[in-house]
Amino acid sequence: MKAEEQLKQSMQDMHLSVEAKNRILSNVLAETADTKPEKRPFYCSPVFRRVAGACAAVIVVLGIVFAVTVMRNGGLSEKDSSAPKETSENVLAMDAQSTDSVYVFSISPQDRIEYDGTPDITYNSPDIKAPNSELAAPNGKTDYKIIGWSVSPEEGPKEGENANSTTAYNVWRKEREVTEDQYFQKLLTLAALERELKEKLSGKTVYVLSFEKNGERYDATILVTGEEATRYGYVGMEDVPSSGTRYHVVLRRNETSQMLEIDTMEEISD
Amino acid sequence: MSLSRVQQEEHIRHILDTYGDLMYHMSLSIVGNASDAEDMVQDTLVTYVSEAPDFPDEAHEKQWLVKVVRNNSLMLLRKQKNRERILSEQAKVSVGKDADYGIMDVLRTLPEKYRSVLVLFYVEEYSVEEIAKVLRHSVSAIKMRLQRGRKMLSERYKENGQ
Repeated sequence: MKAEEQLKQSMQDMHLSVEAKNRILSNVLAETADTKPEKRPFYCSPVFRRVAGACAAVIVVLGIVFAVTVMRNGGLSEKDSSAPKETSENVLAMDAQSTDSVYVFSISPQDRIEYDGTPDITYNSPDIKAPNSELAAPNGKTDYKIIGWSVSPEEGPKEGENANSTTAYNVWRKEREVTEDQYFQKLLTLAALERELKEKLSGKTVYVLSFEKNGERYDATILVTGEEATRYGYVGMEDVPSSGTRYHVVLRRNETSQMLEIDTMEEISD
Repeated sequence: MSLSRVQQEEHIRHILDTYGDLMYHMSLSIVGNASDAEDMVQDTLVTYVSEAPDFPDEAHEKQWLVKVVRNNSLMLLRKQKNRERILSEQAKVSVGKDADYGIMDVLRTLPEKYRSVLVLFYVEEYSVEEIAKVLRHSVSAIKMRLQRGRKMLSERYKENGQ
């Protein structure tokens, strides 16, 4: 007989006798007679431990996410509060409040001003929709894109060029030619438009409030101040290669600070 | 589990009838002493009644009893200052007419980790997976212990001229 078979047989011969069982039973009952079953506290149960562990893990993860978010926001706010950004905003705010000495730009609340660390201030107007949106070219081509706007104080007209201006800002509409056609590869400036309009509307002060491409025309919103009243107007600039640049000016009387009625429509052509 | 005194007595008797020999064999293989093994069974049942654990099924209840009686037996063994005295005394214990003390003596010379595995596998007919669960070891470790324990048991059994 193998040793393990012998072991099995020997062990099976050893068993608790009836007397032993009765003795154990009575002893167990006696020992537990005065003691009620001691339930383990709830925090010792496996279910509670698992739930607590899961909750702790979630809290730790949320804490890490919160800390990372706070650190990231802190970094951004520190970056946002840098001097150049404040400077650019202050400059534009000052311009908007001025009435007769500087160029006035229309800045609607939804406009976004970005400062990318360079002297230029990128001005993204919602009127342009997307900087990279394709626009129809006068020759029917759609192969150029607007890549953004910028404000360049240092590239404005020198003092003396504009008597009413203490500081001039040019709004540059940046276009990038996709093909090799150079026709639209130019920068249009509000200052240049304004100077031309002033020659046409002599005796009046003209401010260009906004400037955008509208189909094949370049439309601008201008503010004309004269002796009689302050008028708001729209300028449509049409670039005709054969006859030169043509401007369409529509003026509106400013009575209730709203553009309500059309006064005149004056075509200023070459 | 809230039972009346009568129900509790019936329940303990049921546990003793069902798992009494299993616990006894497990403890006996460790402490090597019939009276101590009975005490370990009793302590285990006291713990069972005191803590009144809830088990999802009988398999878990059985595993719990084996684990507790084994731990109690190991604790008792550690408390003994003189193991040799225990081994010498255990031969005097009378446990039954047909008991073969030769193989039991040989079993007691094996390390405890082999004894428990051999008893659970050959006497209680546990599977290797069940033993791994009860003893909280890997299946491969249990297989290795089983193989080595069987070899040691067989060799020492032959050495003793059985």
